Amino acid sequence: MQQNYDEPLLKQDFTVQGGDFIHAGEVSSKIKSILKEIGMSHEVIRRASIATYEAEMNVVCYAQRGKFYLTITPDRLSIIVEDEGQGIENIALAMKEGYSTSSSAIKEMGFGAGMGLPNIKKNTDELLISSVLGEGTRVAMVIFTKP
Amino acid sequence: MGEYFHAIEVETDKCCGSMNCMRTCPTEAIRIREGKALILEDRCIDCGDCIRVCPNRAIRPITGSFEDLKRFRYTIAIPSPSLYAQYGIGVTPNHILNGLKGLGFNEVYDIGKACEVYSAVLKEHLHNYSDNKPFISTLCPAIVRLIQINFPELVGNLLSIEAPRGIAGSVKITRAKEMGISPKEIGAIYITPCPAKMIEVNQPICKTDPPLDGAISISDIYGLLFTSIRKIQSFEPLHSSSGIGVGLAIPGGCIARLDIENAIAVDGVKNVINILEDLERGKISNVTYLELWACPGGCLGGPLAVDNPYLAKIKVVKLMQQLGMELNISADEVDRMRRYLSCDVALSSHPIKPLGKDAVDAIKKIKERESVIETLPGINCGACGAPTCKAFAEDVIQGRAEVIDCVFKLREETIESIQRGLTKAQRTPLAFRKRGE
Repeated sequence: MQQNYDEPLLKQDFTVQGGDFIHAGEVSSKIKSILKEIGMSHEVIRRASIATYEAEMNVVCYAQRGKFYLTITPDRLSIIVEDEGQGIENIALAMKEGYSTSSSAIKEMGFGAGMGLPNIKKNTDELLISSVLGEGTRVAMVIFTKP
Repeated sequence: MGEYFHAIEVETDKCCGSMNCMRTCPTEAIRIREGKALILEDRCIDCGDCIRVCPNRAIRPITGSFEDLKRFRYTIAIPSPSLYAQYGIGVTPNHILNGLKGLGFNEVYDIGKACEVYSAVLKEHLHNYSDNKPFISTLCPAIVRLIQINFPELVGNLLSIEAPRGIAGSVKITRAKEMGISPKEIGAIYITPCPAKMIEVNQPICKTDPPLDGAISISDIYGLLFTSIRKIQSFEPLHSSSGIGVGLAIPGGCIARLDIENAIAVDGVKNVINILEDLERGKISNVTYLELWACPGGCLGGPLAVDNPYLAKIKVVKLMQQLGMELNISADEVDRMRRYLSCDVALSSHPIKPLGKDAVDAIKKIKERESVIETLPGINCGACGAPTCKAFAEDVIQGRAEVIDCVFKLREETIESIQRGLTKAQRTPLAFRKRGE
């Protein structure tokens, strides 16, 4: 049977509230449990957990609100995160390990170590970031699920 | 017995279906069917939380009894470190070991020695740590199962070092050689604060041959042991270990002497689940060692321990001070026993089955479940026999329940059908019906 690899099997979206550190991580947990129920490989689950958690923390730390769009097709997971927030001035710089624009308050809370985007990069197969300063950021990540 | 051994069973004639267990179970492994608790074997981690909350004592730990001793030519009692802290401060570890011997065991083994060996090897292991992931202790068998079932991708973090009770059990191999008999004729019997240790009698975590041959619960032996201690005229010196042994009875008791940075101890299944989720999402970096316990308060909080775990903890801390936290055994002895610590089987994972036969089917089921959830009241009343509306929705889509098994859905449907009937009944008979009616 011919399988259409672009046909989404599942589309689901989630909202993340900026500044809500108590519930930070809930969306990535939900996505993780869906992937477990689907029977994705441990490796895909591990990578997706880390990438979505980092993306969620970015929304919590730097945006007013954000939206996660999860799409699962037969060969990949695509997660698009769109936020309304401060945006990223220099994406290339933000991709460097250890680079952070975080306020000292956020650093004192144990976040903003400058590892977020590099960690997302490490745990995804495709990553596209676009941002408008003062408006928000869009992070589109893809993880291939077929070995 | 299913795919894996479980150390807990429901005594159906005592169970009145009160749901306390279903609501408490941290892995949602209990349903109520035919008015009785039913344990879902693929989800149960044998933590024993259900034993604590059952008002009718209908959840029975499958532990052994003194009858087990008759199966062997020679028996060795191995107390859990928590046993040392179950009585008043006047009852010392040496009294306890003598008392156990008085109960009919041929030999008693001071678990503290095995704990010292364990602690020494663990320290080496953690100091050679180079991998970028924390090691997770395998001291608590319920935690090992939790990881195998709910966090299969973390199985690789589990330390493959045999726990002190297994090290102690392996003494039977030496004893068999000395006596010129088969190790099978020797019974190593663990005195346990929880049923989970029975897993290791039946399906050991990291050995092909179980080092332990039986387990008797502390609660079963408590009174007998006390009487036995009181009868003893003169005590043999059976206890020679340091405070490390008894320290292992409380979470984090032995972490300080490991001399490593960033080791943490977490107790209680729900807290453990939280920390494992953090680990999974990459939030935990630069932590070297996670000592995880299913019971709040560690082994002192075991469902088969007798004394209040907080009171027992005072005694543990006192014993740790009195006995000191230095190794009492020599480096040679550690080396001699080293082989008993290695695992000869790889730890495997037993993840919960995906919802469907493949990704497409599973996603279809997820969507079906979501649409069922939307129609449910969401108050998790439990009358359907499932702990949450979500779990019930899953039962529905898997064909284990029908939507009208929800009392609220039944009520809705009944009202609708009565209304339909009423509308029909109110219809004017044709002979009297006005035109256009």
